[in-house]
Amino acid sequence: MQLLHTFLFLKKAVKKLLPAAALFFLQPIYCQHTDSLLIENIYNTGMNYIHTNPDSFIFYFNKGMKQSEHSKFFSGLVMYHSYSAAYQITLNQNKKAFEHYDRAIEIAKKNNLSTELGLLYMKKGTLNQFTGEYAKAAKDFLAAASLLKTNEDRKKIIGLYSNVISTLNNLQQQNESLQNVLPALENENTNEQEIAGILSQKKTSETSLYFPDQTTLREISGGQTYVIFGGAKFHLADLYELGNYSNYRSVRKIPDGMLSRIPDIPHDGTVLSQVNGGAGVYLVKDKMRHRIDNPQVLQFFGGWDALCKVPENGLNQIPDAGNIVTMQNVNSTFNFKNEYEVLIDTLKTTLLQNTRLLAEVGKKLKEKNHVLQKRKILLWTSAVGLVALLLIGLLLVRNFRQNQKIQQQSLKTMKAEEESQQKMAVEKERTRIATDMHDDLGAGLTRIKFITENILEKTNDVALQPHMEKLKTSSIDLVQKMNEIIWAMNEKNDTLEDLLFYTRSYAFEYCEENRLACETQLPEAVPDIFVSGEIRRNVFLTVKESLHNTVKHAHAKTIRLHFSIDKKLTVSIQDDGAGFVTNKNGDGNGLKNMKKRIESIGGNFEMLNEKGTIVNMTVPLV
Amino acid sequence: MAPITICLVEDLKEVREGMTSLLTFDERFELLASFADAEKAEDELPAWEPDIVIMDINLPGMNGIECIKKVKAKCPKSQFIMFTIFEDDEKVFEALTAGASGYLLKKTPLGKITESLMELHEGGSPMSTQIARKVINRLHASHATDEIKLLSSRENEVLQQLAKGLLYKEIADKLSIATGTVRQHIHKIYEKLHVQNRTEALNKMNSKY
Repeated sequence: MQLLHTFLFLKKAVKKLLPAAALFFLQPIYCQHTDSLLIENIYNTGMNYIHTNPDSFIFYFNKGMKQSEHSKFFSGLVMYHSYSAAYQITLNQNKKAFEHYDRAIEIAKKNNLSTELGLLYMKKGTLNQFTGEYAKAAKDFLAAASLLKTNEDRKKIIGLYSNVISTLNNLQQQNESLQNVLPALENENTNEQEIAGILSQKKTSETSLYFPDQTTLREISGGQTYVIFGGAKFHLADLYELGNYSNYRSVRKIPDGMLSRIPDIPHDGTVLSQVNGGAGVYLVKDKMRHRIDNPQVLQFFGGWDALCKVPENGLNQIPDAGNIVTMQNVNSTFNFKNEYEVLIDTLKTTLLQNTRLLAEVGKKLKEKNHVLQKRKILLWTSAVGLVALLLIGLLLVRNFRQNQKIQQQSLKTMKAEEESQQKMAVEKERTRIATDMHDDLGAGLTRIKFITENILEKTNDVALQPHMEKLKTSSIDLVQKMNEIIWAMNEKNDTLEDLLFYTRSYAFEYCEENRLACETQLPEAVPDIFVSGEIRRNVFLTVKESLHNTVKHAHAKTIRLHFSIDKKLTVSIQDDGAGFVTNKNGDGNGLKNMKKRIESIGGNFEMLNEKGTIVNMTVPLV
Repeated sequence: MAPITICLVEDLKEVREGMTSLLTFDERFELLASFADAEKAEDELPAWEPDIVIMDINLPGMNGIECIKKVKAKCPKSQFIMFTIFEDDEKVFEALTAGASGYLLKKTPLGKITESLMELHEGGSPMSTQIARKVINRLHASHATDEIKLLSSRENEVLQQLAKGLLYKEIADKLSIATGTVRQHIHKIYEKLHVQNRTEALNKMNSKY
């Protein structure tokens, strides 16, 4: 396996090195016979590689050059430099190309190679024209014209001159266009796009390149290369193609733009105008050659012979080449020289003017852009400002409303706070009173109670005993009353449930003490309702008073205590006693008191005589 | 039967004297000592180990509630009964959570005071239904359901009746038991709902000795 690989590798290497090796062994033969044809062959071999393998191209050309030097074959050296320049042009290395041309010109001059010199001037001029050095180009062309003897070559010079002149025309037109741009820029109403369009046209500095093989190439400032043949302009994308044009006369790649104008030709084909000496137009596609018989296509290529001459009417199809007339003799060339010399001053002024105008246009454009930018900024700023103002307005309104709300709320909370503070103050005072009562009065009364109890126990004075008993009872009563007041004042007891259970509990104990049966009825569920101390106290004391009256006056056996709740609290106390008599013995005062108590808390009080006494009180619950 | 041993903590001289004569002449009771302030009581109560401590709430220095909190663990055998002028449920509640078993009102006639002491000794909790209801409701609300599970069905019945606001007598009638038994149930309910504090107290005691 490895052997096979080595073998294959060696085979490849041998295949690659074989031509070089052959040349190496053949060298002595060239040295002996300074055969120009062999050197040309070396160059031609190199040319085969110009696109596919530039290194091989350079190798063969260097070989050719060395061979030429060795054999003192100066035409060969000139050829070397000429082709090398062409190669450098394809690489966009114009400076190197000029060096080669200068070197070639030097050699040709030294050795009186006038025809070669003429061709070299022509090529150098072409390059000068290509790079925009019109004055130099014209000079080169003039030099070439005087050296070239054949009519064919002179035609080329004429063509080249015509290119220089057309370029001048172009520049003049450019100038005019630029002058038109200025007022357009001044006009406030001019559409920006229109100006941009005009400028893009005006900025285009076109240079025509009339190649030695009479194909017109043009470079437009965008860096795109166009091929003109048959009077139509076609885009050429690849710079290598440039070299192709200068060396392969009969093979033409048809660019897209052209093909789109010619029916029946596939867009990616290659057209051959001459195959094996036969006339006709051929299309090469997929390695197959097709003869084109379409009359329109043939008409297009009709004026285009095997030598790629530009037909007379072909040039007329180029708008900016309308004035060019094909000259038939050498003298005409010098007519062009005169024409050129007249134009050269115009050219200089035009170029100057152009520069100035361009600068002016640039400045104006900048200003315009600045104004537009300003306007844009203004527009945007105002738009943004408006939106911002709107937002700020909205925010302010919201803020205002929120503030109002907050103010209202804070007013409310302030009021609530004030109220609660007042409440708290009242509460504090209540607690203070309660504590005082609790601690001092309570303790004092307890003391009295225990002292009287002690005396009662120790004394045998019968007359003293009832007084002491009374003292003891009143002290106990006072404690009880205080207890009730404390209960009413304690906010922890301020529910309806507390009121009902406390009252009921009291009633039971009181009845028990006085040997009365007590029946009570409470609602199944007592709602959780706040009942103020005032209401609790008044309701409780009224019930207490009522029970006291029953025990004291009614001689009853049973008391029924009935509580019911429905938005209002209704307490009903019923006894089976003797009933009551109003305004007897001043007892009405107690009744008045009860009524007053209940009414003071917004309630109703009534007392009825019906198989005993019925006391009804109704108190609203908040 | 051995007399019920009692200690009294009371700052009013007259009250102390009244109670002393009451308990001295009643052979069911034996008054071991009486203290005028809680500080002295705190120092000496553990040594006496009485069956019942009658504790005034309002005392000059430390109050009776604080005193119970401090001395309770040191007197595991003693029951504490608050001695108060008013049925101020806030203070009573506080005292009960501190470990008191019930309360006596100072206005109560002397005869009835001995009754309450006997009731306490027999396992009841002398307090009015009004207060018992509130106290148990609050313990009920503040404790987790775990404690409720400890209650017997009878205790639960009593608790429900008490929550309705019925009096001891009414509960007794309704459940066909004696009023004293109702009081004992309430004492147990109260103890069970209070189990946390009790356990804590016991734990504290065990760790000390």
